[in-house]
Amino acid sequence: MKKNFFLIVLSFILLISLTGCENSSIGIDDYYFVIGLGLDEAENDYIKLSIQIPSNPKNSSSDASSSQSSSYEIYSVEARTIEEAINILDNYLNKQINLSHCSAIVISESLAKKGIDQYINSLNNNVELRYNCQTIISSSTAYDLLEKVSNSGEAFSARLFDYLKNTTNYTGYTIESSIGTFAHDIDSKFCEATAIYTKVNNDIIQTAGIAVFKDQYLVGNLDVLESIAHLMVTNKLNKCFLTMDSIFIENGKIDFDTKLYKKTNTYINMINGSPFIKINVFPEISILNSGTDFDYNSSYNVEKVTHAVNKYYERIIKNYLYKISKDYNSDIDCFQGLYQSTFLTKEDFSKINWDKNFQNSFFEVNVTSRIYSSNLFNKE
Amino acid sequence: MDNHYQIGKVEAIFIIVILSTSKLIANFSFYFVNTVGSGVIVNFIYIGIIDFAFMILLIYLQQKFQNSDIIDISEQVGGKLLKILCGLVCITVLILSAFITLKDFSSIIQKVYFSNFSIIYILMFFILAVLVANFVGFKSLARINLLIVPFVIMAILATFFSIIAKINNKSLTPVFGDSYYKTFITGLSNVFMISNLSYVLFLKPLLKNESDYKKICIISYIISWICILLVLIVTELLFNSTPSKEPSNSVFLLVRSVNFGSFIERIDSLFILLCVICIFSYLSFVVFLINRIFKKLFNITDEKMISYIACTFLFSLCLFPISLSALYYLENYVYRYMIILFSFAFEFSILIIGNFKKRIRKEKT
Repeated sequence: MKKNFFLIVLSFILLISLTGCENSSIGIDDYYFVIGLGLDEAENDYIKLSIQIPSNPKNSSSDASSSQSSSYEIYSVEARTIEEAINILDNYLNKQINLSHCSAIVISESLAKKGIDQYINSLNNNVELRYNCQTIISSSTAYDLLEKVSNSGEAFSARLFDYLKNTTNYTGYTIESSIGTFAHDIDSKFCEATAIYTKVNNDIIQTAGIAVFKDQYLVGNLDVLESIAHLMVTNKLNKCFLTMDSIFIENGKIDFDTKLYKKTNTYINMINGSPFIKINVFPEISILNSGTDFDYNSSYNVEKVTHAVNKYYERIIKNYLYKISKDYNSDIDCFQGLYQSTFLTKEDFSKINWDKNFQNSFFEVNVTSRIYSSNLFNKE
Repeated sequence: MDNHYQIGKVEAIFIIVILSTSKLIANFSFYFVNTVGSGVIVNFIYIGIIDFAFMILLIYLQQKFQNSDIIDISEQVGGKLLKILCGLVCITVLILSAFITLKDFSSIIQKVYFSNFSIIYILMFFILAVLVANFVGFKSLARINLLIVPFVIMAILATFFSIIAKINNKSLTPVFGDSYYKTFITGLSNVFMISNLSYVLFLKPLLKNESDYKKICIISYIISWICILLVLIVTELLFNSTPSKEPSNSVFLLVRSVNFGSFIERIDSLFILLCVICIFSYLSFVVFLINRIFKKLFNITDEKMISYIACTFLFSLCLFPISLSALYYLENYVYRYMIILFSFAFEFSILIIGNFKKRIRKEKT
């Protein structure tokens, strides 16, 4: 009897104390859930932190189709560090800022060029932030990008950030860049960091390739074709569409989509102190449109197209490789990691002086594409 | 209290696995990879072979001591004085291991989930659970542990497969690490990582069937070795390729980065819950072993009283304010060399002297 009584009392105590209601001052209404966080440079080595938070729907009854439908507001503050800025916003907004639903960290190009290690470390240490929150570099200011989200036609900006990331799966125009992997790569010993690069044109946000980092500094960006080349070299290409000049008709075009039918092979040798990097790429092509003069039944024609596609890809990939090595000196494809795996100890590898010599790399690219299907039901 | 319960083969294996893998919850995995860098796999195979050879030797040396743990053997070797000395050394090792694990983990829990609460409540939560578990008895402990260990193994596998898919595995090369010297000479101090040797010597009197002892030691060793290796690999992948970053708790950061697609993400709280249960089990066994040693040393019959003392002592120790740098020193240096000395010098010297004495006695008769 005594034991049962004790258990009942204990259950009540546990029910009350473990529900989190004992401290009524902190509830879900007491938080502002940030969707996007922007970082810009400000005067006197300050940073401008902007947060995008959803506000109440203007007319909830008319837009009941989506629980996520909302408008949003942007608040900005200038401070010396991220923590200080969040603290000021906490005080100003009278609600606690919570980053657990943050979908994107937007950093302006100008700030990224000055180095962002301390900001990324600060964000990465925040336990609220999701590991797969996307890192986006904006060609204009971060505030501008957050503001333009309202013109994107998306009712909920988190969706837009997801779309920016997802485009890599069907266009290959950019990459997925979670804060976790970005923070890892920015300090990595053998691989440089990359992030989604966006441009704001005529009030519209669009992905415009990949932002390339050297250590913690942004050194440049790759355009969409180079982004596809990057995905091919790193074996991350899911699918992409390209258009090239027709080999059959003057001013004609051939549209095709590409996948990789085999993993890209990379071989590295040192020749006279410079890395010689040989890359074999294996794209699978499906022609989508090629004009009326192309006879798919002729193996000769197919061979000609295959050859043209091979040359086209070789040119794109070579341009990309020389750009990252000569112009940016940034090993975003982790060639160092690949080459160091052929050594037994780091002591041996350090004699190569990779960091200094990567800029002198020269490349051989071999593309072996195969036209798997025309993908057409009717000839045009 | 049913502390005369004798465990079967599976229960014994799982007890050793939980005792040796629980230390992964503290920051030991990072200290391990920090010593050898990318040579983590080679070094772990190397120390694995050394540890395994020592364990086989230990099983061989213990063969002549039927139904005896290290305390009984020390009594046979050097009388009551050595028995007390050995007992106190064992208690020190167990208390320090429990202190480091509990202090480290409760600090993380406080930092991440209960930043507004005093650490005293979190410690009390653990200590009370351990106390209750020891009151309920060894049988319940062993049985509950049977449920926990499969989940621990599953969690380790999930962490491994999630992280290996995301992070470039080139940080595991060059396979011999920074240099041969670092991997094979400096890295020798990493033998502390597989601490099965520290616990198996308490196991014999607890077994239902003593003939299973060898099998239990080997199987538990292999399971622990695999589990620790998987955690070490992902720790190396996630942290050691970034020289400027040193995690204060690598396991939390590891589990934080676990996600499977965009559907299953932020499952760190689930993993932390598992860690909490794992720590409960680990601390309960440690307190149980302390009880047994005390009982043997001073012929105390009331085990409840020893549980109270052990738990209160552990609780008070954890309340002692200790800085992060002091905890780092304790984990990376004190604990490392203490386990090496205890497992490879102290225990073995007792066993070797014991065997030597037995042989002399046999020759005399």
